[in-house]
Amino acid sequence: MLKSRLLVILVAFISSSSYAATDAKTCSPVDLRGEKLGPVRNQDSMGACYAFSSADLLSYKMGHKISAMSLMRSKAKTWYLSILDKLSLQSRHGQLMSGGNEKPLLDQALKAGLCLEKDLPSEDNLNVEYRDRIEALYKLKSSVEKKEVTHYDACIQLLTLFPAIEPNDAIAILINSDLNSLFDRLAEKSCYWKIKAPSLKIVSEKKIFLLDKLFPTDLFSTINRELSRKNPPIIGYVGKVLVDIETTKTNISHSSLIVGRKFNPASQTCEYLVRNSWGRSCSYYDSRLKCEEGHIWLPENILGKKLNEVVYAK
Amino acid sequence: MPSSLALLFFFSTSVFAMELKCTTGQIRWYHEKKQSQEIINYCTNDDGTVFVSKDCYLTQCWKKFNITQLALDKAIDQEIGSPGFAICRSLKGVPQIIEFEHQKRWVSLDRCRLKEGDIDTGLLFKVLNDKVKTSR
Repeated sequence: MLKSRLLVILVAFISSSSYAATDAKTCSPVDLRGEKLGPVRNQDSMGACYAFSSADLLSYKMGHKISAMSLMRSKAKTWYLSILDKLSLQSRHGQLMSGGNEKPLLDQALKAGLCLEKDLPSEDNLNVEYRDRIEALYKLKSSVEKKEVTHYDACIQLLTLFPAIEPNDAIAILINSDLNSLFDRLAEKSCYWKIKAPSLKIVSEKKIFLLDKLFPTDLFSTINRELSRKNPPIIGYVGKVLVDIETTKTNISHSSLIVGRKFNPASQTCEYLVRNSWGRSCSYYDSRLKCEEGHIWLPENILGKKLNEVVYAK
Repeated sequence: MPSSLALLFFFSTSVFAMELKCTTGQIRWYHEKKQSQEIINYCTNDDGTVFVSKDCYLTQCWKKFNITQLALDKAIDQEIGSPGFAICRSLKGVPQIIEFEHQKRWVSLDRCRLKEGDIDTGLLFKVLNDKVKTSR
């Protein structure tokens, strides 16, 4: 008897313990799009939504376009080293390019200094994927050593990945570096003129999955507070919701910056402006969502079901 | 491209559920710090978020492509970048970020270069997604 009463109380608690939807007053209009962020980026074939959202956050804070690739340096080095491993090469179309976490990435970047997009480009890998370009580095070094390609031709190839390096420096690094340090040294040289990062603390708040029904994490309070401070937060969420708002997927995580909010009086819902990193196209997205040049308005009741994490700088 | 050189055509198809304007215009892209450019016939929408070469648009070139729901899902789920880039490459296309002049400003988008014509990767994803859904 006692057990069943406890069960009823528990069920009642679970069903009642959800946070209230954002009201119209809290959902005052915010729109942080503009010159600081520029057009939506295109992550191309890099499995790096978290690096692009992190670069967007830093770009907003700094007023300069920060390189997403520079934030990925440690990851890129891992890919590169994996590519050197022939066994890994067999399975490289899998986990090697899959995601990561924003907080450690941002913490590391703020400590090391920030690199501009123009010095270490992250977008547009032309006719190949980024990992193929990294793999080509390995082959290029070997070809130069065997004198199969001239320094001039090697230089042209190097400058597509590292356009900020002087040609002579690029060749010197190619010749003098061992394979393990080649990518990192080229990236380091590209980012020689670093921007000193401001003193920021990165905070991450996550849903606790098993306990979330009992003790729901009100991530929207955090999002609303930071938006009101004109401090765009990053969200970790199920990215497929952008393509299909009825998706039942729960385990695939995507990362984007939230750059605005507005209250929709017709639906009585607060809507959040997601800055994705799939370019300016609006064709990808569920036709029921409003899209503006790669920014998507996601209603709170839809985003709430797929929201896992909020990361912000303070 | 000077807008005075533009040849305008208006088309409306149920596939796009939007009106595209076709023009002869310049597109540009950057490679090795150098700008390259090309003049082509292409079609776009009001806000310049769609790009498709006129020949592909007129022939609805995507009808020739076969792709499965599984491949589309995989392109999103594997999260190795923009899904349209993965789809483009699976069709033996070459994705490329470009800029084109739209309402007197240069806007950035991308194109998947296929032998059947050019189409932006977002639109490619959409038309193939719609095709798969309607064929169920």
